[in-house]
Amino acid sequence: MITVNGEGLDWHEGMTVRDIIRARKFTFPMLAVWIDDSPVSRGAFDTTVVPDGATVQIIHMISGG
Amino acid sequence: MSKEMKLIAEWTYKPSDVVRGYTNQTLFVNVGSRKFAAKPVSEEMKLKFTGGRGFDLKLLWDAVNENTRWNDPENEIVISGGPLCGTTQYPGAGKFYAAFISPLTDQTYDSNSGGHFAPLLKLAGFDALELQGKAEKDVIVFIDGDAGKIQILESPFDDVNAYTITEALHEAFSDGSNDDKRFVSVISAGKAAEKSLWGCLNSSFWDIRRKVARLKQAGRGGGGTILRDKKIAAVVVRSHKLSGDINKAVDVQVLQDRGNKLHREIHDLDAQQCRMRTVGTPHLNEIMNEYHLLPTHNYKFGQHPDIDKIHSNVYEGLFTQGIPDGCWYGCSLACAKAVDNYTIQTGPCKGKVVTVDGPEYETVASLGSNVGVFNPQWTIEANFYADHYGVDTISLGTGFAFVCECYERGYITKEHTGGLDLNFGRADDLMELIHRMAVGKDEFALAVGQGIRKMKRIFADRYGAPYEEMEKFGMEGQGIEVSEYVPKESIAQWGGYFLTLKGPQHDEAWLIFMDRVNKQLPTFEDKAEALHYFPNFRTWFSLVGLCKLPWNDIEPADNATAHRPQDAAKVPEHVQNYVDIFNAVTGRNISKEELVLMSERVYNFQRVFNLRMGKGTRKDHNIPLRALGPVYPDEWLAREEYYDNELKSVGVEPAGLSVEEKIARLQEARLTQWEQLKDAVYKRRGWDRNGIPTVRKLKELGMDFPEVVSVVEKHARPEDQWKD
Ligand code: SF4
Repeated sequence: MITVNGEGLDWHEGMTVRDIIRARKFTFPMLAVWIDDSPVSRGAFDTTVVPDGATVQIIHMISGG
Repeated sequence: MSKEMKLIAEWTYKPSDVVRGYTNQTLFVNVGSRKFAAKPVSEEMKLKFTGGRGFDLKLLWDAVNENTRWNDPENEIVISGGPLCGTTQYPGAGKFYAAFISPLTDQTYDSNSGGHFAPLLKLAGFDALELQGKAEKDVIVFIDGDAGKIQILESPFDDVNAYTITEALHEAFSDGSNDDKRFVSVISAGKAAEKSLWGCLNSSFWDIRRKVARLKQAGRGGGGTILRDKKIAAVVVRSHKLSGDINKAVDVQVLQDRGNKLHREIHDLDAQQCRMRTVGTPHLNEIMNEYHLLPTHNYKFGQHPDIDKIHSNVYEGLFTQGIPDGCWYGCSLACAKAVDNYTIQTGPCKGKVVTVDGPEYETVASLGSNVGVFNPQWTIEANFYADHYGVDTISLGTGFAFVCECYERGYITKEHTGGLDLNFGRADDLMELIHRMAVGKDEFALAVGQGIRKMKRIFADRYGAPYEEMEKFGMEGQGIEVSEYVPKESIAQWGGYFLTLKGPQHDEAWLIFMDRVNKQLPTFEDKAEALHYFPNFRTWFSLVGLCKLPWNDIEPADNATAHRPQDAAKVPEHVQNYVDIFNAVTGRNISKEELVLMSERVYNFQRVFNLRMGKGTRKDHNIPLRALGPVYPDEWLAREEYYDNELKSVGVEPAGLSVEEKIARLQEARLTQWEQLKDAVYKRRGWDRNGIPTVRKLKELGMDFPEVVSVVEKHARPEDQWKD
């Protein structure tokens, strides 16, 4: 189990940042991702593996308006 | 053609040069008494009010009294760009703000527009323009910055609709060549602005590539209605002094450096970020739908199965590509997209081939999903006519969505609507209603143009519609229609919309992602902090003449990793750019903190101004129930699991409750949260429990002018003061 924006999400071996984004249906392009206090660059979403028990923040930057 | 316009009055002046972003004088024109004046701008005025909306409000304060209503002659439309307006090195520096006492809200309203008007006004020698009085018949106000004269001319136009009059005036006040027309800009409204309270101000720039006049809008609040009430058909400004250093900045090199850096970011990153250069703000269409935020059927739902018909890719195909669509020189974000060679299908322009500005996201939603029409061609045509007739597309769409729901619920029928079938999605009949509004064809069309707040009363009195039910879903706050995001999903956005100075427009704060998706604002204090910072930060754009979009619709490549999430949302590097370019133009030495302080001064002044006009207290911060949550079973059932969980989160077990009971229990809890939010926000802003800025706060800000303090002292009550 990991935490994504304060809510629990089932974890699986090899889970990447991109998998979480898909699972949460986050289609917004301007995302900032932090895993346990370390930032992940957008170019590394597909390859960054998330460890079990991680605290993940997926921040949507404000846009529009 | 200018010779064909009969001269009514003329005044000559000495155009003053721009120095460090200011001309140091403002222009006053009274079209009724035909008086003109140049008013000096003091150092204190610059320090306390900065410019733009700040200057507007200061001049408006001095012009009106507490009894002034929108159609009184002393009401003004005040237009000002601000010290950075006209900068060409940094993207997004051509905006003006217009302020006035609004026909919809009976208090101050401020609305911004792109186009070339404000930079040309500055080059003509003025930091602001006050339009006061009422003419006897239609006039054109001409500000000739080349010759140093102001003229009031008799309008020769029978057709005052925006595209007609704007094209003609670019022709009339230039030598007729394509190149020369860009030294002219026109502000106009249109026929519907005479018949409804939703009148917008159209502001033009000449598109030398397309060889047409383009229209941008200060859409909201009814400024166009006031313009036509004053019998001003158009305001024209002309100046040939365009140069690369309009503001005579102290340090042009800094402007160039910061500008070049942002140009590079836009060039390298826009295609992966917001695609502003290819599709503009409609990049949000499917994103808002995905997150249940796209207003659909009068904000009942946030999603619709037909989203693919209005997907941003569809609009990308309709917008002409490959043309740099900046609404002012130097804006490489270039989001002012247009549909070229569009053949009009209905109404008085039927068969004409035109260029249509936009539609922007707000219009895609308002004159689209919110009224149940998922047909881009219809939205483009509705957008064209709204601009041409001079009505705000947001109020028009949200107002129509209210009408559709009243019709669907049987509160109004064909008997009342003049035979129109106004169910959601009835595209042809809705288009016909736009045309009927423009000419004030019947009492129904006139009633609709009064806006939702007055419509509720009229429908109840005239047609027997149930007022209390309409109160639930009439999406207005402080008298003006809600813009195009579903607010019921975020407590912080209730504040972003309904705890604002002027009503539910999204320019103060857009907190839905921070609050609802990112979960960055868990407590009321966190929400209040955001509802303090963002409105004040965003107010700053309106003081200096900048467009907000290059702040956060593009961000540096490392923004998301170089800063903690809470800070990254503020795009710190861009904020520093703003500090730097402000200092580089004006020679001042402000910090990031002072930038917010500059806004806070004007923000609180405007709040007291509203108090002076008999508004601006807690009771005026109203919210319709649909902004808090579902009000009818179909809304709840569309997301049953989600709302059941929402109910659990406020301590109510949904099992065993009927849908109606669930709705009532959630509404009850959310109304309590709404009052808690008000308390937290008022406290953080330095206001008392009644939403009035305290004298202490005004002193802290240096805004304790005697006339301002006396308004507060007149209304503040001991029982509303916080204990600590
Ligand atoms: S970002 Fe768009 S609206 Fe803003 S100044 Fe540039 S073109 Fe105009």
